Amino acid sequence: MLQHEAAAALWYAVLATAWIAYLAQESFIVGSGMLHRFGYGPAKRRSIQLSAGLHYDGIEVWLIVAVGGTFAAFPPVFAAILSSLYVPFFLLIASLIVRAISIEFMYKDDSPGWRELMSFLWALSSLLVPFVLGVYFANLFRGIAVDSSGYRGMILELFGYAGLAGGIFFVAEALVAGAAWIRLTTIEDREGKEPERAAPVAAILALFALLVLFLALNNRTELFTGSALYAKAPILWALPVAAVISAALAALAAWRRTAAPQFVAAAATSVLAMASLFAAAFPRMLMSSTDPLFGLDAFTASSSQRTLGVMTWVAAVFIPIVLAYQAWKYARFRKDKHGEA
Amino acid sequence: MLEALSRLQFALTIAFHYLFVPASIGLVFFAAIFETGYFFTRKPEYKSLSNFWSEIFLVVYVVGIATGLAMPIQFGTNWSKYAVFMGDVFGSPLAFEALIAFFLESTFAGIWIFKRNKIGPGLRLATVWLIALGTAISAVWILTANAFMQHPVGYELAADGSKVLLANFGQLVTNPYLFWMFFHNHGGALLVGSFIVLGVSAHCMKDGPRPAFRKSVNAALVVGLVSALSLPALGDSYGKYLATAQPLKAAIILGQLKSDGQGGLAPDATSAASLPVDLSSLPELPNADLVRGAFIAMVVLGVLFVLLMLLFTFRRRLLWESPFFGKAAIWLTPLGYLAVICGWIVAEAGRAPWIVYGLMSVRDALSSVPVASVAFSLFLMVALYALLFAVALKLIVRAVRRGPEDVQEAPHAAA
Repeated sequence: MLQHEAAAALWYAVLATAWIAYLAQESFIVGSGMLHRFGYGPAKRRSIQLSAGLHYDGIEVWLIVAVGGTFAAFPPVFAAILSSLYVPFFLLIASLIVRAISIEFMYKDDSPGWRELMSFLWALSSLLVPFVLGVYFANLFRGIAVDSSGYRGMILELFGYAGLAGGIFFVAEALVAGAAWIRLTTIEDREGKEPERAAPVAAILALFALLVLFLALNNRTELFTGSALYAKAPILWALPVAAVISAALAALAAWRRTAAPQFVAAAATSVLAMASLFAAAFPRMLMSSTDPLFGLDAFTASSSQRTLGVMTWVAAVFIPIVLAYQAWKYARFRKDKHGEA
Repeated sequence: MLEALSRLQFALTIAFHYLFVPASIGLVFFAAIFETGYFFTRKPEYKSLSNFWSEIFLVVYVVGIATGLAMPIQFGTNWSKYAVFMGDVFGSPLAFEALIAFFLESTFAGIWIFKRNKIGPGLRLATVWLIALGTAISAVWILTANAFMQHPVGYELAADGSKVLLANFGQLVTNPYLFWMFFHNHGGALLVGSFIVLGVSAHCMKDGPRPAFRKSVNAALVVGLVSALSLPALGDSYGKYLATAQPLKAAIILGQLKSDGQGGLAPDATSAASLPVDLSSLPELPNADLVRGAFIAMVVLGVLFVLLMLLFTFRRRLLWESPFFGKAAIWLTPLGYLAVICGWIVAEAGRAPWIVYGLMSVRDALSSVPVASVAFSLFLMVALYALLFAVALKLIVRAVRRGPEDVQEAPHAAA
């Protein structure tokens, strides 16, 4: 059986991976959700709904695994983060509920008013989900105002320039990924105005927001320069650098209107940016901006060695199975240009 | 105030979520039955029936999944002391539910909802059964978590008493409470599913019998009769087990302990049984009138269900020939829900004051968050769920009105 510290580190990595798997895939789903109602013809709109609807639900489970896994592997972290950021979590859940309803039920009624309402709600919730997540992660990695008696901050404090940079980065990168996903998986639009041509603007915004986010995080908590892991393995500096390069490449691909490289670069930007942040924060899981004493780290806040051991066995068996059938699903329906049945 | 609002929020969100859970479990099972019929016979009417019940399943499934999101996060937002105290044991069943069950359900439900008319019969069959399997695995894990709250096993208290630690995972997943709950709960879900199929079919045959709905009635009566008969039998053994695991709840159910009218409990004068537990040690007592009332309602409804299912099994024609029994079949669905909710009231209110039986009281489990935050989230969820309910109802009514695709007119699309 794994040593306790090694098991805690492993589960930090597993949960970071689950978050990254969720965020990278969610970005093209919410991206297509935001874009679908701007200028496309009706057949193309339906096609976008079909291609996003097929996958969004299976992707969302990565979020549940990340949150539920934190509960199981690091209970005090789960308790402190969710009770501190109470309102943002409920906003996230409400947005996800509205997204699920609108994407699934949009074509379950023929009336134009219903479709217009659902389309509006799908776009709105698709904007709120990445924005709230971006604000959340920016604040998480920047430190939140907790002390011995819980959260001591104000909700509006979460929307400082770091929080806004995080929110804008997630939204803009989602637009870039979503625009590429639409081009790759949906039918040709003969009537529309191709709103995904705005992707280069979004890509440049994402690049800029990512730089601000990195600087803001390092400025306050010395996330990178004070990182134990980066000090031990300087090669990790390649992660944030690669994230920025990848964001620039996504902008270039968007400019040249090459959908596949744009998709890959946008997804890679999300993966690399989040990986660089999780690696830099390790083992810190909750940083207190009032006093470092009240922060939580993976080694002291983890569940017992026995619990982590059972979880490791279950994850070792089932994560490969899940990856296999989810990969099969992408491959199986890859060539469908999701048209009306 | 904080406690009242947090409890109200959890009660409302779980009760609303649970309106959609048994219907999902039940309806996907019927879709799977007809899909199996289609796979082996390739008769298009079976495919049409599978698609029809899947349209209704889709609505309840989507709302069930969406409202399910609000459940696990509340352990962190509103019940964070619980999360810290119990996380070592309680967290992993929730994580396993997501990893083993939710992925399976969600990945294949996406295929079922968006692609079922574009894939072959083999993949259709596999997809619908994998969703049904996912719902069953999901029930096992969430009930493992609930069974631990009802009857904690496989744990030890940390040396400093600050939390519980997992001692034996095998005991956690073989908790006898889990065994009784799973079969009682799944039987109830299949019964509710049968009622929905029966009620919708009766409604659609009010102007005369239709072959597709007669087939549905046949399937619903088999599943419904078996479930209705097994529930009282299971329930009886469940109750006997309860007397050993939760003597206080069992005594209230049996009427040995009654409300004394002043918030306390008193032994029933006619009962010779001695008090099963020392009541003076408890910070708060269960609401005996509520628990006993819910129990009696559940039992009365259970008997009614057995009688009606027997009657319909032997006099099927009543469903489309008698307006009275046609209406009665429609009313079975809300009554089935009432029985399920009564069962959960007995299970949950009956274990007051404990959030984990004998280990932690509900009061000690609360987060210290501003009351205004909880008021905000409660308002948000109530408003959202009211809209969800209206939307779900509208879409179910619409799917029922459209009915199954008429296979006589459709070409043989059995590819």
